[in-house]
Amino acid sequence: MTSKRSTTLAALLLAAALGFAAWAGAGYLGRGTDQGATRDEVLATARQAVATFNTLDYRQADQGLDRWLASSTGTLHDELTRTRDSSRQRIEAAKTVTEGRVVDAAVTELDTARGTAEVLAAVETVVVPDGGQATTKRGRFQAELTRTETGWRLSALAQVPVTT
Amino acid sequence: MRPGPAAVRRRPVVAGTGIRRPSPGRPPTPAEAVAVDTAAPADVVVTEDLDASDTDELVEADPAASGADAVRRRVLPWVLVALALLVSAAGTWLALQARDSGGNAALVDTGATAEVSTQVRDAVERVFSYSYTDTAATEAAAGDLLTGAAKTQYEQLFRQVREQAPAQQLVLRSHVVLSGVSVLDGDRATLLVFLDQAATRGDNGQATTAGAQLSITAEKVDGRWRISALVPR
Repeated sequence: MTSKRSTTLAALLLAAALGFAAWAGAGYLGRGTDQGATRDEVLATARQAVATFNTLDYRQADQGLDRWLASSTGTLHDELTRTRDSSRQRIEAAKTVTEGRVVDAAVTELDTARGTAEVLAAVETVVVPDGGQATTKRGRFQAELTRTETGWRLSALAQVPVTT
Repeated sequence: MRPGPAAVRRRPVVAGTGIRRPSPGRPPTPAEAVAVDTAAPADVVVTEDLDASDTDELVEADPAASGADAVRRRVLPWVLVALALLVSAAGTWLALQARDSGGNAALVDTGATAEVSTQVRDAVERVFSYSYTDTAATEAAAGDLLTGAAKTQYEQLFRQVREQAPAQQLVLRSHVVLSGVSVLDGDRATLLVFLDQAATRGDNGQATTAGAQLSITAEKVDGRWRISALVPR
């Protein structure tokens, strides 16, 4: 009788422990890793992509535009494809080499279910005109990212204007 | 298997189970009936098992089964308890890991992210807005909303404002356009804030607007998020 009762008690204890572990496991899988890891992935991708979109060498306009296309998807990708020829002409006429660097960025919205995200980025761009002096410009951008089969891509990118 | 003498000593105890049997004077309650039905046959088996003369016979008949049964009955609860402890330990580890979430709860803990975001936006707007008619109000707000290095830095900067603002009739209004929390780790957070600023000079009627980007470090002190570092981008 006593050994049966202690077995029952021990079994109940184990059941409770299993229940607790299942709850903790669900929490572990659900919040920490999933959302946090996706946020970090989105941020890293956005930093790289926004820098790419602020980087261009007029002597290698095609390669630059290829990189823009490779980091974009959706409407942004469509628009770039449509305006590619005029963009190249404009870049080659401007004769500047620009190199962008994201100095700070933050994810502001993240919908892992829909696969969309919004990111803010502060960008420092060094502009070197042909035979001229380098100047540094500071800009602020809002980017929209969309998840594709091959990873996150920029689906929209805009400067944030001063509105006051 | 217990040795013979122990079995012999148990006999009176077994006989004692007769107490549970209903007294002849009254019919058994359902509980008592169940107790008798289940307990009595088991007791009989136990006494027979423990009878010294029968032990050899039992051992011969099925030595492995009866020996293993006894061991299993005694050990099983402890195995289960050990398992329960192991599972609890694993669960605790998982729970702690989930709470840590890699040290950065930005956008993972949406409530805490919204809280730091709202309070820092409010702090930035109040600290970077002033009117020449009442610079003391802004200074007081800054004293409350800034901490550490940001406080010292701001005090140096604001000394000029205090001196020049009345003569130029300066009014500065700051508005946070967009903000994002990049890191939220317990009582520390870093944010990127896009700010629009409108300044007007009453003495010559000049008005200027400008955009600013600020990397902000915030610390939660006494239940409120306060700015501890500001870096213009």
